[in-house]
Amino acid sequence: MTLVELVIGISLAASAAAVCASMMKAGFQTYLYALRQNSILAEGKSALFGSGSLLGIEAGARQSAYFVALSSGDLNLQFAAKPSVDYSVASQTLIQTASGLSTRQAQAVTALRLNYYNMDDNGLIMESTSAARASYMTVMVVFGKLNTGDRSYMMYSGAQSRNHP
Amino acid sequence: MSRGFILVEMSVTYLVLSIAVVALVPAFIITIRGSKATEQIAEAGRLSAQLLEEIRLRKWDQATPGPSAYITAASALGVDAGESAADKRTFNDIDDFNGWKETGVLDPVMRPVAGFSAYTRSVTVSYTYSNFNVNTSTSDFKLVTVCTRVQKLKPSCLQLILANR
Repeated sequence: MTLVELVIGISLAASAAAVCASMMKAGFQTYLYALRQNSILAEGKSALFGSGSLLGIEAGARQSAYFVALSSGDLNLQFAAKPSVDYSVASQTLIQTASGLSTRQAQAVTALRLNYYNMDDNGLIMESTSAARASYMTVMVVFGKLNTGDRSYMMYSGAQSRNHP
Repeated sequence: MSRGFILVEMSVTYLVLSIAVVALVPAFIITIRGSKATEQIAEAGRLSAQLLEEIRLRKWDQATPGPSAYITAASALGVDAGESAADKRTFNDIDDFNGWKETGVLDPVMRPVAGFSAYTRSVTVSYTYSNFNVNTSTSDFKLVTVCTRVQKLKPSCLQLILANR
């Protein structure tokens, strides 16, 4: 074996190692990216639909009797037989407040947009002008980016207040 | 030992590794695309549920009085006199939605919902037996099917039977 052959062999081995390293890096990055996105989506679903003892926005609206106000960024639900519950966004965190206690519902929430509707006297849907009449709401939750390169997600849902008189 | 033995082996190794890497890199791309498609299908399901909630706000039939009560003679399916098939704000009963299709999600008062222009929602309403089989004549049950599709993915459909009340 000559020196030239040895040098060429080492160079080829180094090239192969570099190619393998880039492939492994792509694999790790794909895995970590999917992990972050799944985490964000899981929190978003928890925010909307609830998880364990946490009442989600949609489930809460369905159980409520009234929407306290027609706020576009803050949902306050009044129930017939239990204390009211409030959902709001502060510092990119969706917070649920009930009986004076605040609970973090989801992270990376950049926007919470609410609209309220009711049926008019002719049975046609209209955007509510009075909180007392509102019986249906739609919610758009926008989940932002936790890290550079992450996607943002939007979830849109709606719920009717089943206990509305 | 013959001269050039290690060089030939290393060259072949490098060539095989390069081919393997070229074949494996698209796998990472497919993984990310598959994850995105899964989330889009899940969102399509949520959008179907939201439209179903919106439809439930209407009365059961054109002939249903207010407050709601059972009726003996249901009307034909589809929009009624004075209603527009292209404007769901004019729909006052469930079967007005029969044949409804929206390209891009619209809120209950026909405003486009930002970020969901790729989704298409469609509704069919039919009279049915209580076991979900379609009834070609009128009955006391209406089957509402809402399907939401995004791009070329499989649509997410939800069904609900609503009774004459």
